[in-house]
Amino acid sequence: MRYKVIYNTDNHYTDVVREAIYDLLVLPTTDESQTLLFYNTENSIKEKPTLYKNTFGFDVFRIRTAKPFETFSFRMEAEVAVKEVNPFDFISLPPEEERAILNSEAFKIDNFLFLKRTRYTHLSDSNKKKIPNLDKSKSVFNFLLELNRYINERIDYCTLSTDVYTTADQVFELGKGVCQDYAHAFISVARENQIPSRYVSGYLNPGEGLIGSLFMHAWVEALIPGVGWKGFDPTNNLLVDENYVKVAHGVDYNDCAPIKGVVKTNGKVETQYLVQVSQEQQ
Amino acid sequence: MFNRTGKPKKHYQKVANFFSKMSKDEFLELNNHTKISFMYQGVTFTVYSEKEGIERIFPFDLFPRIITQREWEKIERGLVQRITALNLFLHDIYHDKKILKDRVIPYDLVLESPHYNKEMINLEPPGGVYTHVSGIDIIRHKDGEFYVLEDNLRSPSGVSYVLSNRSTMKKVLPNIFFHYEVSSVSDYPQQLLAMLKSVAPEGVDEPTCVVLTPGIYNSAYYEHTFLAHNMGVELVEGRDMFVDNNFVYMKTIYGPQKVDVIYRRVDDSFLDPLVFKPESLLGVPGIMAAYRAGNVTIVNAPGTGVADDKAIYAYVPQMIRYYLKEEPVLNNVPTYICDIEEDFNYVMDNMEKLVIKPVDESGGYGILIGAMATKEEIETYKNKIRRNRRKYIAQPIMTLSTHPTFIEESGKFEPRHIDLRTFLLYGKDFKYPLKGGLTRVALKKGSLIVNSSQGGGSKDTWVME
Repeated sequence: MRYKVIYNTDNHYTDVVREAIYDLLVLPTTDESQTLLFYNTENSIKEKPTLYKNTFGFDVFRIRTAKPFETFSFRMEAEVAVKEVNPFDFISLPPEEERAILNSEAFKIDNFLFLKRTRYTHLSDSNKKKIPNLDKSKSVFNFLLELNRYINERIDYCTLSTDVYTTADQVFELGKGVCQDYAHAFISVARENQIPSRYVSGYLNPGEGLIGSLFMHAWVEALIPGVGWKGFDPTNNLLVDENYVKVAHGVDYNDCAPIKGVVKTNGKVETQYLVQVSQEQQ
Repeated sequence: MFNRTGKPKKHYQKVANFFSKMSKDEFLELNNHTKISFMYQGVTFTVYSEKEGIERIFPFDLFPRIITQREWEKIERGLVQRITALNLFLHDIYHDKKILKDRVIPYDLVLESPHYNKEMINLEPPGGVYTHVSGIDIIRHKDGEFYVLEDNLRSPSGVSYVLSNRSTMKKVLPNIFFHYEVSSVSDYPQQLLAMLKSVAPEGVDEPTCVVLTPGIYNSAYYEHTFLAHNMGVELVEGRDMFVDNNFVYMKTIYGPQKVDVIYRRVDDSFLDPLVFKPESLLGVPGIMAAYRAGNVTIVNAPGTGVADDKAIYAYVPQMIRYYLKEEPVLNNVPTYICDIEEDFNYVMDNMEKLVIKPVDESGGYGILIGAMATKEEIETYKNKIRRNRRKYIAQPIMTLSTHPTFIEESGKFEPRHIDLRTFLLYGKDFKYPLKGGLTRVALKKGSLIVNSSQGGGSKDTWVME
């Protein structure tokens, strides 16, 4: 599957900005399931972006200026090819072997970053009691499938009910949220069950009627012992396939925020985003 | 300073004679000179607990502490050994994690530490060093042996007082000072600069070094200005620098100037608002990416705090054996880790003899001194330990050695407890233990607390040539 992705952000400041630095984590990555073919960027302040790799090795555009401005617009166009896969096409280890790996010290040390509770993925004791638990007879994959459905049913999709600071705990209390909240909720339960899991940001194929295709989307990758990282999208109760274009992963939203900036101004900002993804003919 | 018969030890005789010949009035006059000298030099510290920042003179005691060459030689060997192992440990836990996989240290103790900094994973700091400037606190126990009390590996303060104490001493008591062959401390700033240059990013021949301060409200601001001034480098705040094209620049009246090495006295979490606390104004936005790209050196490296936590401290002797295949030269204070069955049982049976500390608290919070606690307090505390054994360590009560110190109220020299903060610079093929240190004195009778913020003072520390 080939996609053309356009990411656009407009930031209008009520007061002049004297100095600014922006980091944009929006470029599709290249890995075993997708290849970035082409990209191009433009911005309204006419500074050339530099590209650098973040902690997890993903490319970030950085733009800095010391010239005054009132509007910062950034537009990226990228083309990416995604391999077609059947997400069910793999062989699981027997549950007891999976369990032995999950419980081994070396596995926990190698994957500790995705097992560690963060501000977003920490659960209160009362929420811990209510969440599903991996029982002995179940394979990790089947448990994660159930978890995907559980999160999907437990949370109602509702924009503006949460913000970028909402934690998994709060999402379980509220029972509603957006893709980022579904992802944090999924991650918090998976980690509680000692299954390494990471937050993923990216884009969705708009032709499939999936929730989240008008914005940057968020989903989860969980590590299945003996198999590898598998993508789960609790917002849509689906497994990740060729309809998903990955940008980056991290321990939680904070590692994947599409735009971060430090801006010297006395005024306020109004921000707009636009994401357009179109499927291209091969 | 006294031997078993109560006479001054050989190396203290001249000092003791000198002071014994002096009348009380003569001494008081000398003491006043000293205070004025500190005032003129501007050697002060700020006490945070006051509502408004109040700068004070750091109380200074004229009676020097003398360390013989033989004693010092061992301390120095021990410090270098310790820092070498700690640097290897820091590299290991941000790369292969061998020491954790080999079960020498419990992995969760390290990886769950709030100071474990994920931005440092797989990052190669220029020069290969993590903790370049360390301040290791040492005490002498009643058994005559030196023990390491604490490793300060992030941003240890106090070296400016060592240098100011010395210059005051030379001014006020020249006749006694020059009777001794005292090792010089005055080249510390130049050695610090040489160390900073040794860890400059690769390919930079004439590195530009700066001192990064959080600003005038920081308690150690005096020291930041002192070091920058004496090294002849710029003292900067975060707002004086910016990152462009993954390089760090400072703003000067001649335009931007590239910065290669930053001796930062700003905490990790304030270094880069794009990565850590977004609301922080003390750091430089974008600096972590420039660091990861190898374009700038940060001294000390972020994430070193994981190696100076109280529980990790307990494992430093094991680190020395693991990485260096050597026995530790300096002792640790024996530490019982409640998470270990045997230690736990010992702690439960011997609470009265021990000081029990939570591993993740600082400032003395949550500490129980067994000998001073009631039965109920001990029982309550035992339950706390049972509920979360990983959180507690215990140590026997150490008796800090005492040293004659002039006490203004009594107008006499009286014994007071002391410790020693040492300073070690560690760069690329570069090791410099400062021959001296900050001897801190508990000015209150019987007190074991030597911290300046709690009414402690200091002494000039003479290491014999």
